[in-house]
Amino acid sequence: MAALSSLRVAAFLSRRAIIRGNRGITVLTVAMMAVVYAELMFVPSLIQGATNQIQLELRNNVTASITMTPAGSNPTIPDAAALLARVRATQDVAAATATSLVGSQISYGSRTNSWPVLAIDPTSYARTFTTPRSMIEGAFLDPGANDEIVLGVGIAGAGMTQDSMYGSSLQTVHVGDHVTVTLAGGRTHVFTVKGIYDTDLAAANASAFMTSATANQLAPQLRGRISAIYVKTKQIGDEKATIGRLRRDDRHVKYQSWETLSSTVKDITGSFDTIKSILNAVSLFVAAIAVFIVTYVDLVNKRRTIGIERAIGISGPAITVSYLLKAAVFAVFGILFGAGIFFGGAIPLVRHHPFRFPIGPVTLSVSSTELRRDAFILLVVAIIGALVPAWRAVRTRLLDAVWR
Amino acid sequence: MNSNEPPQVRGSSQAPTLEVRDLSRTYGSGDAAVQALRHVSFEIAPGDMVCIMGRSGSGKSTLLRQLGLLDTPTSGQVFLDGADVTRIRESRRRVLRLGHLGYVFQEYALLPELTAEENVYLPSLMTGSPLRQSRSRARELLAMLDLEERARHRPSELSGGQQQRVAIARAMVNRPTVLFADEPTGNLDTVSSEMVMTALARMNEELGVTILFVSHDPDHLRFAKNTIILRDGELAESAY
Repeated sequence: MAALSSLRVAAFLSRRAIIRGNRGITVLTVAMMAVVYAELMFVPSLIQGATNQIQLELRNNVTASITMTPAGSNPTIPDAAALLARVRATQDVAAATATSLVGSQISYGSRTNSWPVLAIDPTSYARTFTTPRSMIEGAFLDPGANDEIVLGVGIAGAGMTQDSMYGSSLQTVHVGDHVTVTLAGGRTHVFTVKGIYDTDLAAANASAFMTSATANQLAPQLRGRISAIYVKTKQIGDEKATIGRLRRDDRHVKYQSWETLSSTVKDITGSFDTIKSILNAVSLFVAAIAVFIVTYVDLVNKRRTIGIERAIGISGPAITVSYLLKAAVFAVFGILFGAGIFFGGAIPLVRHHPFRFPIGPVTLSVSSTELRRDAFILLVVAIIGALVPAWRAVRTRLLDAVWR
Repeated sequence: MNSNEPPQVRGSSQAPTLEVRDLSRTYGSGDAAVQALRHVSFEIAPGDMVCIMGRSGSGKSTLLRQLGLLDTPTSGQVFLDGADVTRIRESRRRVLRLGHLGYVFQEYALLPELTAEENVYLPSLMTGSPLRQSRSRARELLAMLDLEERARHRPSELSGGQQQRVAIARAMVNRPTVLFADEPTGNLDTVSSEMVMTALARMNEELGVTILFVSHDPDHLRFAKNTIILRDGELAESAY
């Protein structure tokens, strides 16, 4: 009963204080909470946007949605043509393409290095990956191309000798130049560079492509020896279900979703998560300090008022809770305004003017879970920030509070 | 007079509402110690209206704070309706301040964010009384003090005398046994002082509450049924 009365009085006092208190302090506190909440969401959503962009680049250029590779020690997928046909006919599959590893060494002038040289069907490859749309010189392979090769900028260098990233490349290769490829079996062949591509994912820029027709001509022993099948699904996120539909009794094939294969970028996204956590902690600490200061200043000015409330019999918990409720209400309004700023301002603005990162254009991405979690944490932080000074204020000696 | 033997301020066969035995209050310690009250003893009968007088620094306000359970005496005892309330826990003191004692401060002491009416019924809400009932009681008291027109005004919109009468209404809202008023007219002009003292006298006469008020003004003695005079923290005289 006493607790209920205290709660009722706390609600009564906080409501009056919010409605009739100093408007300037109310507006400033809510504005501060709004900025803190928007800031709390901004950096993590930017990092999430960057992570999404990395994963998108990975799917678009390296793994597709699902990668099918030989299981066990077999270097190729048996009966790949039939499997590919079955995959393409499967529900939810938008496109599928097969690649064969046909070479491993490329030379230009005195420079030689090892890179995977893949034989592909340019048409299905372009349906499955976006790499053919990332050309910086020349064009991608035509289905009928002979003795032509497309190189990633990580192989060609394309004159970017000043960039340390291309130190191990052929450095000065451009479209029209001739490079020598050592094919499987040891045979070498000279190809004309048809195009050079440059995706936003550096790891994807170190492959070379020739058509399957050329590969079959130069290395007939490799005909039909498919080393991987890449599957693009209609929906992202449904890969497990699609794998379930694709998988039959074929123990010779390993199915992996892009998420499983994204271990190459997990270090990057893991670091992003760490940065995100640190920034979140700092933001929340700042929010707690800010609420503490606002409440503390408010309470210093109301020391005598609190003393009088206690003198006339208002309980300490009722007074403390009134300040906590006030802080909570300010936090809720701050969160609402902060969400308004974020969704009404920041997100549309960044959508139209994305941040330019080395991994490509990055927009803001926020999940509803994070949104709710941040709101809840900010609310708790605001209450804790108000609790300390409020609790201290009601513990001041009555004589000191009222008469000193 | 022997201060160890409590004088009854008003001759009555009734059990005292308030009894003070050998009460002392010292602030600070060592060389800086100030003895504000020295071995004060007296009894106050129910329904009395007592004026505590004395020069500045004589211990009037200190005495009232001990009786109003806003401070704890260094030694001695205070009995309220026969119960020793001298060293009870703060939670119990608060409950007594809320339900059995009313306190009117010199400097109005209303809560600035509440209207006059809300200031009055706030202590009533704390007792668990329904809002409607609390508001009705507040209006009744404000009407009694000629303040019904000012019920929805905030303290900053009221004169000093009006604020002090609102403070009296607030002190009376939970029907206390004793009401303490610490120089309630200290900051008021003559007309306002008269209105406040009249309001206190009405509370005493019409609602039967025992009142102890501190005053410097000898003119206020006419409102008192009895008087306590303090000199240098000691009970110098009690008269009726």
